[in-house]
Amino acid sequence: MSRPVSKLELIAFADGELSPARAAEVEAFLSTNPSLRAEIDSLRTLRSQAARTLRAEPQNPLLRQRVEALFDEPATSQPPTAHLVLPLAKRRWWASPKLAIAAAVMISLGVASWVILAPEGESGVAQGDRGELLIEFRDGRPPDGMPASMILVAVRKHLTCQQMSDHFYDSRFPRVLAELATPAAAFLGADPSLPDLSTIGYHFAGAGGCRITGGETLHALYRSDSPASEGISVFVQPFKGQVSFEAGQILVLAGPTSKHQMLAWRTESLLFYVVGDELAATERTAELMGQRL
Amino acid sequence: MVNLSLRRNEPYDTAAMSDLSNDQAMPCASFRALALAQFDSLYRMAYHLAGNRTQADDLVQETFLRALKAQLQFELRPAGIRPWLFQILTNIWRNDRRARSVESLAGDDAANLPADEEIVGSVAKLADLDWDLVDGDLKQSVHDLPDPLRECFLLFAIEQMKYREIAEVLELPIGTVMSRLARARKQLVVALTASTSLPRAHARAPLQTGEVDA
Repeated sequence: MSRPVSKLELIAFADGELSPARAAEVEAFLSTNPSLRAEIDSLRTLRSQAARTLRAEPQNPLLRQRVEALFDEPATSQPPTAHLVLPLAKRRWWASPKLAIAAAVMISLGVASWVILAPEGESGVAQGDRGELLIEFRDGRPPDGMPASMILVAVRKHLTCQQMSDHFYDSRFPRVLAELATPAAAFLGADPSLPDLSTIGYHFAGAGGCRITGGETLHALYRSDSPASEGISVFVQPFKGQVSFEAGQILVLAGPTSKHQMLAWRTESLLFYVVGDELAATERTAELMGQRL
Repeated sequence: MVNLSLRRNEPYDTAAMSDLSNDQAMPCASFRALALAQFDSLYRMAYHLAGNRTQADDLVQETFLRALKAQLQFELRPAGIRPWLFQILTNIWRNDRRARSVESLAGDDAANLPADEEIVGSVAKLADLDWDLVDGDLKQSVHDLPDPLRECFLLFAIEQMKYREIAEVLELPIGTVMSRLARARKQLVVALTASTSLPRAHARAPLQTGEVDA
């Protein structure tokens, strides 16, 4: 033994705080002191019994859901995050139960902090927090059957994740498209058949799971080979009645000159929405996923 | 964005880092995954600090709100995200208690370290405890610890944190952590051995301190 064992070292030994070399020396010392060994064992038992007893307390799954929702809201430190601008003459949100509900949902979720009404005749658009246009709606307003909050969150998510590094880091999903089918099907309850977009110049950048408006969502991101700043996001959710349009119908949300594009459709079991920065690529993605525009 | 500032040759928490690569930026999915992985632990800690679910709910929600607001300043260290989140939680807890002028701990410094030695002598009494019978007593005894001792012991026992981690979370010198742990354990031993569950006739003799070098 390199030096005598102090009382403090015995406690540190019991707590697993000694270096391996010194712990081995203390272990050897204790082998010749059974009563002392028993004391150390009692110290460890107190810790392990306290852990066993105190870890058994119930959890709060509802709180967990609320906290998860906090993470799925855009940029909490920079409200307001998005605005829905609706033409006054075409749409009065207080007169429309669907839009009133959508506004209430947005406010309650903190997704869009406020809804403003644009001067008469202006097109309906969704704006980012710096006033940039996210989507210019094709019909001057969000389409019936899809909550505005889902549109805003999807476009924000597309832009935010695209600006980050090359990949998602969700360990549940592989970074290789060919390996994605099985974990994606397990996550969603059905195979989403995510497309290979290499034929249109986009490569698979990664997939991640998140809980956003509409429920658990698989977000697959594709990046343009050139320019790299452009991307396509495919969002897939288990269909649980969160939209009211029919299976087989395809919604074209943005007008042709919109800065970002968005298409949505659903099957009996899955809801898809594709967000892209370029019209032709977004439409081609839908076609590669079996949709006819 | 979160900066990864791992130093070379420094050990790190592989579990906490398992879904990270060498890229410089951490996407939202990673911060989310790392933070939410600590939810159960934070909730347990909050519950045992507060003693009721309502306050625990508030504590945990506020912890995650502040973490989200501060995520741009968060720097991922070798120990992972855990100490940072627990530090936020315990700071909220302490500020709340301070605002309500709740107890402080007298004589709380490394000078009290000899208390550590006493614990070795008294702990022998635990050897004959039937732990299943004192389950409720143990829970109550932990709850009855003064706040500074309880927060230290909870991190040590439930979260199995090292002295260094506890010191980081509670922003204390390691000596103070050791002192608080010793005092907490001593108080628990006294409480548990005073319970009727202990067959006192079988209690063992205290440690013969002459067997070790002081």
